[in-house]
Parts: sequence; structure tokens; C-alpha cells
Amino acid sequence: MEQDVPSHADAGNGCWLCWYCPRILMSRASRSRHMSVRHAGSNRLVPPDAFVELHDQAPSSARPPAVATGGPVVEDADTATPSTAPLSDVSGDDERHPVLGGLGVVGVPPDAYSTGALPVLRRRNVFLTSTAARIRAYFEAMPEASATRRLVPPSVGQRASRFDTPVLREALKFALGAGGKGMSEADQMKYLSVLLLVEEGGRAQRRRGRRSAPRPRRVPPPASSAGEVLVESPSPVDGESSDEDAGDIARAFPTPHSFLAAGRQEQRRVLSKLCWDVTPLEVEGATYRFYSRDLLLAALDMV
Amino acid sequence: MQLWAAQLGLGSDGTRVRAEIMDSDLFLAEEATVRRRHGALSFVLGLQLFVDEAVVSWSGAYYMYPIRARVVNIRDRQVQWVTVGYIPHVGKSVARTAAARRLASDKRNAMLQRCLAILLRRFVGASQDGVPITFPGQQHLIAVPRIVSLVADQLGERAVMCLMGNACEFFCSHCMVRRTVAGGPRGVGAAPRDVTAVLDAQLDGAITRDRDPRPSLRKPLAVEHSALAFVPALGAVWGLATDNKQLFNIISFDLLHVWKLGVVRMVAQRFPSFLHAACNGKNARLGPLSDSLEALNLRAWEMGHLCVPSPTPPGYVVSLLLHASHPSFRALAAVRCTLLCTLRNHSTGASIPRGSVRMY
Repeated sequence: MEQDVPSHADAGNGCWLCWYCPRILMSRASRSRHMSVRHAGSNRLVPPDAFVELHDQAPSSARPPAVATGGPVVEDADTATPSTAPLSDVSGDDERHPVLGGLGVVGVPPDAYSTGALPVLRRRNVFLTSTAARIRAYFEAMPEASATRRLVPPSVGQRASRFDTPVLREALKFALGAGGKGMSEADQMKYLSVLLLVEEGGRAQRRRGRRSAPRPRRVPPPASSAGEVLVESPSPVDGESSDEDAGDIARAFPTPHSFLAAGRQEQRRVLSKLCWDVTPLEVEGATYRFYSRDLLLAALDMV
Repeated sequence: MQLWAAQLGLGSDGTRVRAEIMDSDLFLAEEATVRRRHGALSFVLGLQLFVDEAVVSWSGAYYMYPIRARVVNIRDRQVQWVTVGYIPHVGKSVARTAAARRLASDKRNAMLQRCLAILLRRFVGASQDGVPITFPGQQHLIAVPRIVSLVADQLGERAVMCLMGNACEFFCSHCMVRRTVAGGPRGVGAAPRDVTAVLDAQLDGAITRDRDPRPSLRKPLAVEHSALAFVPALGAVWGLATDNKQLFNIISFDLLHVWKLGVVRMVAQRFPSFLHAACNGKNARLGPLSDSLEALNLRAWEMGHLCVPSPTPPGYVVSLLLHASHPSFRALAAVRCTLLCTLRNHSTGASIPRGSVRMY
């Protein structure tokens, strides 16, 4: 029977850390058996150089490095009840998610599939006779259990958006949502061309409006500087550069292709930020791709 | 955001007044269990799931349908459904043999359950252990996620629960009423489905099917429970197969969805009589009644093959109705609008359940 123990109980003398993974076992024999099964290709006679036994580690560093991400699993039961576990200890092992910005602190149990160990948020009473536990084990044994990957790398989600003004955001929203399924790429480029023309038209109208305004008067030369060249006082409007005169859209996307590329980048950025995953599924000889978010993270994100 | 269910009010006749899903018996029972197990500072993070294969969309590369979720603890007026996954659609078999049909059916059922299992991976563990949450300026709380509602039509409901279609002997997902006595007085006192027995049988059947896919081995499961040889992934979520065993109680239906389908059916039933009156003279554009019906059937067949998600109404239906010069068409303008809106909403997947209702 394989069960988890609370992470604050793993520093005892009766705990033996595996040399090659964060798993903690209750005896040396268990550890040898575990390593012979899980790490058959590794050296089981001599521990790695950096390895320190759990009971030889300092109290502050008693936790193995992988615990923070995955958590150890101990092959014996413990007697602490879940409700008695202190919350401060519990949240210490949690994975912090920046996407859950609405909440103060959220401790999400780490993903057993990505770390190779079951979550050890607190002790779990896994009853072998429980139907739910059997169903969970049945699906955990499926080949796709460890095949889930992020659809877009997390680094993409940390980039700043190029659609950083309300006009650009609305333009993107319209381009991607018009007609229910959004515009085609060709239509998006035409759409941006129209937007640029509209902006250009607005600028031309402004220029015409400025031309119709009274011309600035020439400054009469002072009597002492008679004979010098008369200089027309520069208008502050006419003195603006063409970049400053351009609108938001023209400044951000001078060509339709840049708008198209930026739209693709924005889609990838949002997919990364929302933690969309992709899982290849092989069912009855055919391979499908399942696109999903983690339901727990999505629910906490909604909160 | 409401963490705990409020005390139920009393109506004028002394009955309890319920307004939201957080007032339901299911939620209250789960909340009592959760607080007993995890302490007084825990709360149920209730989720509704929405699965409907009818809103399948085709992007040109993928043919898939969404699965959406909603947190019932969020009590603002704007109901927020979030898409959490896209399940690949497995079409019907091309070959019309029993083996091909069974293969396609197995593929479809396995796909759905394995997708749900992936979706629920962290959720399952969290439903047992809870998730510690610290709200700004408040003390530590434990959110214990639970599935409190599954919004689906009957086909989706049977598929998610891995039960046979509605033509089987035990066609009700909640109880074991037999088909022959359902709807009559003898079917009133039917026993509810035993969650553990059904899940155990399904799990054994699934393990057997993985080793040997012969259909003869699945017969006992079909005879005893009208169940498929697949195990529902929802059964791993704490609270559905444990404690209060609410697996079959979470089945809900979307009122708007049912209403829309009902409108289509009602209009379709009255359409022949309407056509009979409309095609009586020589004004009908498509000729007499039989020719008009043939043209309509042809258009419906084409629509079934060419239907893609689009917010625009099917143009041929509009032109068919608009070009008819019979005066009764004008009188039925409202019916036409309703039909078109219904078709449009149904084909575009805009039927997000905004008023999902469960009868308690």
C-alpha cells in the first residue's frame, strides 16, 4: 500500500531518501528495492557525490530539492489526519501560479505527471477498496498520462502584449471574433488596410482643418535688426514629425503583415498565459490531439 | 463570491425557498461532508461542467467540441462559462458493418473518458485533499473542489456516464426503471442506481475490454446495468463515488437548450400542415406539396453535410421563405424568425447555458 506522508514528517531517522529521485522510503531494504526497480540502470552501490542522507542534512535543508516541485512519496501510512495538519506547513510545498492573480495565495498541488511523483499536499488516505481510487489508478496507467505538454512555452506568456492600447485591442478582438470564427488571414490584412486608410483620412482632415486656419503672422523685425532675413515663426503643429502624427495603428503596425504576425503572437501569448496544454491520445490505432486547460487551475483562476 | 451556502429561507406556505444551485440539497450535503472532513474553515468550490457534442466546431483542421466549466460560488449576474478543453470529435463509421460501428463507438467513448481524465487530473487530487487559499486580508481557508452539476443533453449525459443509449432496458440514468414500465404507475417506485455497483462493474468491464475486445464479454454489463464497458472518469472525483455518492445526481439539463430543441421540434411538426396550406394554389415557388417537400428534404440533407459554424442564417431557408408569395407567409414571420434564430444559435455553438436548472 503506497501512501503519502506530510512533508513535515520526512526528516526522521527512519526515512531513507532515494539517491536518484525525491522518493522517501521507510527502510534501506525498501530503498534498495525501489532503486532496483526504478533506477535499474544507475549505480546502486555508491551514492552520487552530492547526495546526503536525510538524517544527516541540516533541519533547514532536510527537505530534498525535488520536494518543492514534486514531493516525496513514502511507502507506508501515517496517522495524522488531514484536518489537523497546519495550514502553514501545508502551503509550504505548493506550486505558486502567477495566473491566479485574483487570490492572495493559492497552493495548488503539483502535477504528479510532470514531476513523476504523487502530490504530497498532506497525507492522503488511499483506500485500496475505494472505487474512486481504483478509477484514478486506472486512468493514471494510461499511456497519455505523462504525455501532456504545454501548448506554448511559458516564456511566451511573460512577454508584453503589442496590443497595449484600447484601439488596438478592439481591432484585434474584431479581427479574431468577427463572424463568430474570426476573419481569415487575407481579410485581416484587408481590415488593417482599411484601418490605416481611416487613420490616414483622419490625419488628412486634420491637416486640411489646419490649413484653413489663419496663417501665423510674420513677426515684425525689431528696429535694431533691420535688414536681417525674416523668419516665419514655426507652428507647433507643423513642427511635429511624421511619427508623432501617425495614429496608434499606423505606429504599431505599419504593414498588414505585421498586424497578422502580431495577432498570431498575441494568440500564442494568451494560450501560454492561460496554461493551455496539448495531449496526444492514441485511441484504437488513431492519434488525436486533446487541447485542454487544467480544470483546477481554470476554476481557481475564475475565482 | 460566496463561500458557504446561506440558510434557506421559508416561503409563505412554510416550504423552503431555493434560488441558486448553492441552495440545492446536493450542495448542502457536500458542504456538510467537506466541513466535517476538512474543518470549519473549508468550503466547497462547486463546479458545473457543460458538455454538448451538438456544438461541435470545425476549424478546417480539427473537428472538436468544447467542454466548459463554471464556478457556482461566483454569484454575479453575469454567468461566466469558461472553455477548458476541446474534445476531438469521432465521426460515425463509413462502413456499415457491426464491427465498424462498434469500433467507432468504442473510439468515441474511450476518447471522451480519457479526455475527461486528463482534464480532471489535478482536480481529482484536490477534491480529496483540498486547496489552501488565503484571501487578501483574511485567514487561511481550504477550498475543496467538487463537481456539483453536469449540464448535458441525454446523449451527452449517457456518454459521460458510460451508459448505453436511450433505447436500452434501463434508460434512466438516475434509477433502474425498466423500459416497459417507465411512465406508468409501476415505474414510480424504481430503485435508484447503485453508484458503487455500477462503477465496479464498469471498471471490471473496462479492464476486460482492454484485454479482449470481444463484444460477447460485455453482455452481462449491458444486461444488468445497461452500461458500457468503459469507466466514467468523473467517478474518480471525490464525493461522486465516495461519501454521498452523487455521481448520478449531478446530471442536469440546460433549460435554454431543451427549450430551443423543443421549438425546432414543434415547428417541424407543424410544418407539413403549413406547407399543405401554402402549396395549395399555384403560387408556390417550388411547385405542389410533394415537390416542395422533396426540395425541403434535399436542402436539409445538404445542410447536414455543409453545416459549418456561422452566425449567418442558412441562406436557402431564408430565400425559400422570402420568395414565397403566399399571404400566410407574412403571418408566419414571427415563426420564421424564431426558427432562424434557433437554427443559428444551435449551429454556432452559442447555446452556452445561461439558465441551467436542476430539479430538486
